[in-house]
Amino acid sequence: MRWSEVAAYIAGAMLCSLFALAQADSALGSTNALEEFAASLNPPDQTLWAAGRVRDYQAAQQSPMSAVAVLTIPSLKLEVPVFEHDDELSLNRGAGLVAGMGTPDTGGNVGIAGHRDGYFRVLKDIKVGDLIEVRTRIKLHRYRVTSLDIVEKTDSRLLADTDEPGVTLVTCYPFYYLGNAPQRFIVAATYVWPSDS
Amino acid sequence: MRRSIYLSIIGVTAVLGGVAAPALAADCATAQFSQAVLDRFPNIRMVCSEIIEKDGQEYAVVKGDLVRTGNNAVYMKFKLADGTKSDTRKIETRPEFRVKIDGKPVSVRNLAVGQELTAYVKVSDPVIALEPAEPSDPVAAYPMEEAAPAMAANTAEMPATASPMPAVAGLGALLLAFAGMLTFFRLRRQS
Repeated sequence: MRWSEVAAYIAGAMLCSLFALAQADSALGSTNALEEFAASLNPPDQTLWAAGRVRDYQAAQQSPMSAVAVLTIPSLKLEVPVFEHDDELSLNRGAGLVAGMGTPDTGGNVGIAGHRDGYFRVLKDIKVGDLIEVRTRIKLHRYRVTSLDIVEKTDSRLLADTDEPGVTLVTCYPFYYLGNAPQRFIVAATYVWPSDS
Repeated sequence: MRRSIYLSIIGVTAVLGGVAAPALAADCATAQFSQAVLDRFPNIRMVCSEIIEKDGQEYAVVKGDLVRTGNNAVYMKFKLADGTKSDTRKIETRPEFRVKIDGKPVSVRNLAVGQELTAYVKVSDPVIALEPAEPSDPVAAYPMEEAAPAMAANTAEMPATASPMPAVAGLGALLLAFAGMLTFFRLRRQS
């Protein structure tokens, strides 16, 4: 066996293993984040805990890889953890809040990004009028999809702040494309007020 | 004699009425809002649900939805009598100030959009305050702002939502296929 043959086998196996690891991290990381988030909504009785243990528990809740919310789109059967940042690791395990935009609890235009070849691929089937739910540790927020847009990847106008609370989902477009997709698929949704529903 | 009894009854009634009168707050329709309040909150009578008295001052009680929080302030839209909502109003407050949500005290820093809040507008001055969690807590009123909140400057850029993993998998598969092809030709040459 020649060296080029061996090198190609090793490099190919390593890249495929890396992909498999990323897939496993995506599935396990997402499941763990969803379970941790669900548990954090009903925190355990800590009255008998040592002070240090309580501090560790609270620190774990605020770890960067703890979900800050759970995004659900019932019509697409999508349930995905939302992390505080939109870095590669976060987007591999779920969705991430877009830096410089609002958050579900503080209001404004909330940006949530996801991979078009991962959890956000189902957005290809979303329709105007669909319901989007974002559950934070404080409250369940509901939004109604008002528009779907395809923009250039440098066009950030749809990420501008808004007076009314709303959510903007962002993913790459076209949905099936190898490499850096040239456009972005934008789902805009406005807040559904509890008192109006 | 009878006349003096009538006069006594009228006098006592007048005195009692005079004592009781300050304790009876006006209703929203008859409250004497100052011109400054009406200038800054023209539809105050439409959003007012009742007039209460606290610390010797009359306040209009207004209820609404929280639309935004941040920087020592909350932003609310008040419910009008016809079911519509007012424009957005800013209410200054402190992060540690506690209000009541679903019967439980919650600090302002832990509020979330969509929650229903109650605020007080002073009848005599253009100041507004969130309703404190406990009735015994003092009312912390701040000047009422006329305009809707200034939105945050947009600093967001389009996120990178393309994962390198499909490309990694594709390249790995290509390399394995290339290696397999090399093996195939080598074995064929040898045989």
